[in-house]
Amino acid sequence: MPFIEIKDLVFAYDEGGRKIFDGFNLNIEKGSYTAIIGHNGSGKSTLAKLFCGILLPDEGEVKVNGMSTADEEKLYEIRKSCGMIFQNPDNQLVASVVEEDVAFAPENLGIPPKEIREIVDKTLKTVGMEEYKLHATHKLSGGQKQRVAIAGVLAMMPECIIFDEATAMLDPQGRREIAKTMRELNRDKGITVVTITHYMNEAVEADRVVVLNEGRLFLDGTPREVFSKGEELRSVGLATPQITELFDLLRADGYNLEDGILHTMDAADEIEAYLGRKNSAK
Amino acid sequence: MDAITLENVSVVYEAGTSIEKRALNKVNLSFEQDRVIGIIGHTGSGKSTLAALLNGLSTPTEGTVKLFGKDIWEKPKEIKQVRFKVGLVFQYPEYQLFEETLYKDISFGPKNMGLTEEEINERVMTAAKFCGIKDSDLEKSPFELSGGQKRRAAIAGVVAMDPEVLVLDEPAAGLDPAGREEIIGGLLEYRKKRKSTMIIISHSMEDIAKYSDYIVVLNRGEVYMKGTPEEIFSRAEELFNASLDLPQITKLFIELKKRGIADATDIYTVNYGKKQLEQLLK
Repeated sequence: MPFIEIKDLVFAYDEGGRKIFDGFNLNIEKGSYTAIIGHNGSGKSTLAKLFCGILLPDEGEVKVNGMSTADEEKLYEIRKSCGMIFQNPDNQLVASVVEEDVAFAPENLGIPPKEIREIVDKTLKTVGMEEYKLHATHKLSGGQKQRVAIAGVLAMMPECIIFDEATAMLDPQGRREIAKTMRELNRDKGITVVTITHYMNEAVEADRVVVLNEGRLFLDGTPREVFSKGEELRSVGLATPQITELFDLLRADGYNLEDGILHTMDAADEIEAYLGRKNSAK
Repeated sequence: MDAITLENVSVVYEAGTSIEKRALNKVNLSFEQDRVIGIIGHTGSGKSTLAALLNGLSTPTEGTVKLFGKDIWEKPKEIKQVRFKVGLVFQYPEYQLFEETLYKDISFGPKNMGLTEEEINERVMTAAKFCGIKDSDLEKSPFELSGGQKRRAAIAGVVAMDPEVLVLDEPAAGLDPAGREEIIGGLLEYRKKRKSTMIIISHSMEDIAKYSDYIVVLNRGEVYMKGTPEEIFSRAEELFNASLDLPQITKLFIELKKRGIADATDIYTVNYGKKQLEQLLK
């Protein structure tokens, strides 16, 4: 069952202006983990804002959990079930103390204080910020702020979380932690995860990769299917992980190596296997 | 000749209070002229604090910052001259555009330097060219442009001051791979022609590996490692311990070494990796 359904979407920022989407269709399955990639200006962030009704379609329909985002009465319900994390954490924190920021949403949802305490502690632990719960939010580093923002969304216990380049300001460890968090939220809690990213290494972690170009679905498949099309990805300003690029170059030079390798370990296995094949051919 | 020297520099925030924080601790560094220097470190390692010291935006609590051998704080009243010589581009500089047109925004710096209209015009055009801004965009308002174009304009504003040292804090964050390559490529070309010094601060180990002649790794406010990319990436384990990630290609060669297949571990670019692998697979 799709959690997000986009049907015949048409959208332009200005009336009569350039259409960012013109008859676009996409379904995001409930409980799935999807990465959306595309160059700057391909429509990724616009799409994210259409997902949870921040922007509304000019034509066509966006449905979240069966509810149309154009139905104003359902908007509250939609935003409760579909949380969003943006690129810049400074635009998302509302309180001056970390734990108060995380408690903001559950307080508004009318959850009893004792439960709020538990939710706050648990979500801060999930993002590795429990030590900072009494710190001032404005003094945190960019990466720390972002983790607090994620905890804030988690505290609403949404069914789906959309990450709009949420790791762009994090360091590699922060990025690893967030990627791990995304995976765990998806696998252990059944949360539908959509991540919009420029980091190919991050897209590789998802179960499905959707490539947008000029408001159209350019490629759609498993990470392996998508990243084996290096040439096509580069033609729309994207890249493949370094390993995939290396294997593409070697294959172009006539080395008979496997296609679509994304991870270090698989690459090492394939090189070992290649050497084995070469030796037994002798 | 060294463009910038830091001697025993420490920066302490909130000194003497319970939340005292040593952002930098006894840092000794020298950056040679006509080089690209990459600075990496986890979130909160002191990278941005270091950047703010280089053009006198903040003062060291202890120690001296020298520009071409002269203490920049020798005559505090003349610190403005230092700021003309050391250009600093912050993270997400596009939020700082403020003029009606790109041309006016880019010319703000040179205007403040007291140059003639003719000189200003030349500076603006040169900077725009190297930053990949079309002439036809110069009369547009920054608000009409995409994020990537705004980023270019903001960087051009600092390049137009023609600084001896250009410090860029995460210049490519949030850009797609093609956009990253374009912006940094243009800046490198400009730098080479100008023989100036460029300092790039980034979380992207792959970018730092690709562009730098010399790398400084910061960890908890101290210099953790410094050296050429070969020297740095051959000490992979230590980088990992400092919460940093390694380029995927470096990880592959470490794995191959573990398996007794290859023995080089100082591989950090795809092309170099390809050469090494070709010898192995031949």
